[in-house]
Amino acid sequence: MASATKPMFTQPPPDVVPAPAGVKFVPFGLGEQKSDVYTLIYEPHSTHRPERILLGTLGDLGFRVIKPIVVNLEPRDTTVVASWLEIDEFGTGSSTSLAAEDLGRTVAELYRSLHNDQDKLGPDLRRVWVTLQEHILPRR
Amino acid sequence: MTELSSLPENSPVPTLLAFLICESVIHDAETQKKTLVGLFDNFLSSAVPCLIAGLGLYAKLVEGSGQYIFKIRLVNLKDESQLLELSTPGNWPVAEAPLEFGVNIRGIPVQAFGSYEFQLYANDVYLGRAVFRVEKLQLPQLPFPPPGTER
Repeated sequence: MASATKPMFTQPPPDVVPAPAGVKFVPFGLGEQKSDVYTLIYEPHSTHRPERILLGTLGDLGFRVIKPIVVNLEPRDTTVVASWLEIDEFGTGSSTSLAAEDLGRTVAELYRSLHNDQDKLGPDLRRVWVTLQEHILPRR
Repeated sequence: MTELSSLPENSPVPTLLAFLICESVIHDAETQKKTLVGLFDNFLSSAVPCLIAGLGLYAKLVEGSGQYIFKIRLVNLKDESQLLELSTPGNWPVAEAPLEFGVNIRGIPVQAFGSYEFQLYANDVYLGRAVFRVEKLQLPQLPFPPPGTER
C-alpha cells in the first residue's frame, strides 16, 4: 500500500526573506509525521481510461481555458481519439493525455485561423467561433 | 466524472506552469520555500515488480483562486491502468499570486518496466502531466572476468 505525506500548498511570500540574525533551527515535527501520511487507493490491475475528461489546458501558453472543455475519448487500436463534439474537432495520440494535447493544438490553430477571418465566417463557423470564445481566452 | 454544472463558479481553471518529479520535496517552514531534491525522469531497477521508495511531486500553478480539490493520478502508459490516486483539498487565497503544490509519496508499487504518467486535475479538470520511465538497470560489463571464472 502506497502512502503520501500531507500535501503542501503555499503561495510564495511577496517580499525578500530577511537574513536571519544568527543561526535558527526549524524543527520538522517528526512526532506529527504519522498523522500527515495519507493512504492512497491502489488498484494494480484496473483499467481506468476515462470515457470523458474535462480539459483545462490547450498546451499552448498563448491561450487560457476559461471554461473546461468536455472531451470524449475513444480508443481505436493503439491510439486514443479525443473529440470536442461541440465544434467537431478531434486529436489523436497513444494515450489520453497525448490525444488531449493534440486536440488542444488543433483548437489553438482553429482559434487563430477563425480570429483572422472572423468578419467572413458563415453560420456554421460563426457558431464554432462563439463556442471557442466561451471556452478560450487568448493571452495578450 | 464531475458534471460541468457542479463545478464551483468562483474557482477558475488554473494554468499549470511546472509539474516536476523528484526524489523529495523539502518544504522550509520558515521561508515557505520548496527545495526539489533529485529531479529525475528515469527510474532504474534491476527487476520488477519493484517499489519506488520515495518520490516527490511539485506543481506550480497560476490564474486560479478559491477552493479546489486537487487530484493526482498515476497511470501506466501502456494501457492507462491506474496505479494510485491522491485527492486533497487546496485553498488558493490570493488570485494574483501563484500556488505551489508539493507532495512526497512513499512506496509506489511498479509492476512492469515502461512509461508512467502523473496527471494533475483541479476540480476534475485535467491540467497537465509529468512522465517518467522505469527502466532495467544494466550493469556495466566488467573489463575482466570475475574471480574463479577464468579458464
